[in-house]
Amino acid sequence: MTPPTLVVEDLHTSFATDRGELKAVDGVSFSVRQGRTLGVVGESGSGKSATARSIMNLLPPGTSTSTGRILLDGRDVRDLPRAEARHVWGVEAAMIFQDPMNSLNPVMQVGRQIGEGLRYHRGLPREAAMRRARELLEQVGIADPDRRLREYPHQLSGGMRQRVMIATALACEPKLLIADEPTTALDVTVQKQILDLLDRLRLEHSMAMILITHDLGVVAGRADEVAVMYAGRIVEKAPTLRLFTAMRHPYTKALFESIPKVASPSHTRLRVIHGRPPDLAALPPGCAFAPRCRHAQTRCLSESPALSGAGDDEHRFACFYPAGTSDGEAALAANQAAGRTAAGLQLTNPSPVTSGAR
Amino acid sequence: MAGVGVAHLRPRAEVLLQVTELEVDFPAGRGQRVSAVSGVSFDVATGETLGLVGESGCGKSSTARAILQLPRPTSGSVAFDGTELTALRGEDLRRVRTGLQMIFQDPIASLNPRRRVADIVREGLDIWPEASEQATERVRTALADVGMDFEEAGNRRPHEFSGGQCQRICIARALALRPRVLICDEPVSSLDVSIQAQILNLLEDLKELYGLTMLFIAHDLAVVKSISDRVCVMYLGRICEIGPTDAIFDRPAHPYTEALLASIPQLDAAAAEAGALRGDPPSPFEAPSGCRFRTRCDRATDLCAEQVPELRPAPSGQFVACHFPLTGEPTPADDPADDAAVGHPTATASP
Repeated sequence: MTPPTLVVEDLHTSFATDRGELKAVDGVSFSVRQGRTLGVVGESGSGKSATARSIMNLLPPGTSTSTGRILLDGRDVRDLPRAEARHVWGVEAAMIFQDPMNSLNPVMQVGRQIGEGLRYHRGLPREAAMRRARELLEQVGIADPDRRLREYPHQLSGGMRQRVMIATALACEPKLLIADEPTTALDVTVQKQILDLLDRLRLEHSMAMILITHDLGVVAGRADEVAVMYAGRIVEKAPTLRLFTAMRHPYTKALFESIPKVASPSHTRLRVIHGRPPDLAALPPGCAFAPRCRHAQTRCLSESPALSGAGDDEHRFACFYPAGTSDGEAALAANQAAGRTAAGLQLTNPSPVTSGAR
Repeated sequence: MAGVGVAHLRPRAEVLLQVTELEVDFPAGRGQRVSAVSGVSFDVATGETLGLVGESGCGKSSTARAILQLPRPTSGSVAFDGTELTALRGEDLRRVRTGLQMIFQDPIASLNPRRRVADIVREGLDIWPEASEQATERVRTALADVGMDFEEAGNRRPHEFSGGQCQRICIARALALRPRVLICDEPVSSLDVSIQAQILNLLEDLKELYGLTMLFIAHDLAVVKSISDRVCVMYLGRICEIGPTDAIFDRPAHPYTEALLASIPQLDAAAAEAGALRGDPPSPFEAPSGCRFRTRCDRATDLCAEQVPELRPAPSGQFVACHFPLTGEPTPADDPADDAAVGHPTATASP
């Protein structure tokens, strides 16, 4: 088997703030193979974007520190001399962002923007870069590319801007594409078009892709593997189908259950995750999810569980009392009997999800 | 006209809020006007939640704001508890409007950052002398009802709170005036999933506690389904379909509703992939003639370009504005095989 396109090992990224050091990414490791998609799911502050920006070397200089190894095609991109590094982040790895309006240059015509990388990195003359830009616009499904080449971002709709972003990212044929919430700002019908497009292009160009989203639904049908992040760590990682059939980490399960489902009857009571994500500048000892977890025991408050698979290398989770295991169910039952968890969370309603319509 | 028609309206005496043939235009420079809402009619009965759903630019927020006369609609009628709001001016309007309160998408931006939470929630009460006597008590109750403590939170300012808590403060501010109608404009779209569930459950609880009637606007179909008794689907300023939530979600009659449902990412890794809707919504400056959805619809014929479809009853209980509504087999949301993008007969399917 070929080595993975991207390997991230023990990534730590923190930001200096006036409240102290904020640990945005706290020991994250994963790899992505050619032609595969890794979905990274988490809420705001979970560290998913900071992970992406660490990989792409887009962290603000001065206020951030990042350690750990990032191997692209076997080379540690952090050790490279400047000129080579520029090649890596300009050509071999590309990223698209949530808000295409803010990531496109508002005063540069679309065609020049797409061709910019080609001219700079590949040394293409202007006409050739334009021709290639036109091809790329066609590839990403923009009608009337000749006209669009000469337009400015404000003349395009949101979905079209995201297509232009994608064309720009693909111009130099990257091996790795990181899509950070690529459809969050878009309408649902357009979201589907863009996700389908990304899927198709990933296959055609056999890229490795990281799809970052807060929406479990977005990764469900598309990622080969999913990593769920909470407070800067991966708390569960598994092939997509296995994750959705057997969620082990109580956070993954609670996150899933708190999403309204179209298939549920209306007025179904949603299960909430009580409390708020922890302050990343003052992380509690032990498991960061423990204060909000229905399974939490005394051990969870002092010891931090490692991401392990209990003998299963594919499906890993960082929990002492995982859902769907005898330990986990016993912990939950004990907490329910006591009416509260070891962290003091009140468990008033043992099964709000199944209580159905009111 | 279209998405037009008033056949679906109930008698005015039976409903709390009735909107009839609402039109909202905005000046768009160079003498042009852009129509945001065209001929929208719906009603909401006491204690009911009507979900207003559609993509950006479909006019759902403009509709909500026109109900509050912010700004006044270009034409059409808005009747609240038998009072015609478009006919009221000045203090009369402001007094009636205390009965209609609104919460917004960005809770942090909707709160004055320089004021204290207790003052923010109290502001509406201070305007009306009769209410201001028991103002402190009302503020305390409103904050408690949204799960916040007056003593602890009252003296702090919005920046000390998270987005979810700020939305709670916004809800408390609305409730302090004891409104009968709460208009929620995308109240959970800027919140994280786990916080979104807290706010949705809270709104359901408050609806019972305060006997609220709600107009709930969102682009997320699952959120709308979860909270609504009835649903109204809008596209480019017009109503596509309106009726009971279950009818709309289980047996959509409008091709647009069906396409919307098929576009929802399925929370199931094994889910079959349905086809996507083509293209982007057209610009409201160049709204298509006839049925505005026809440019993206596979069923469209010449008739759709010529005639604006009127809202008329569909077999499953809702009203639909389509010349060729879907009447065939039920298309439950979890079986998007019969999708909108491929395979529909185009011309000959008779209504």
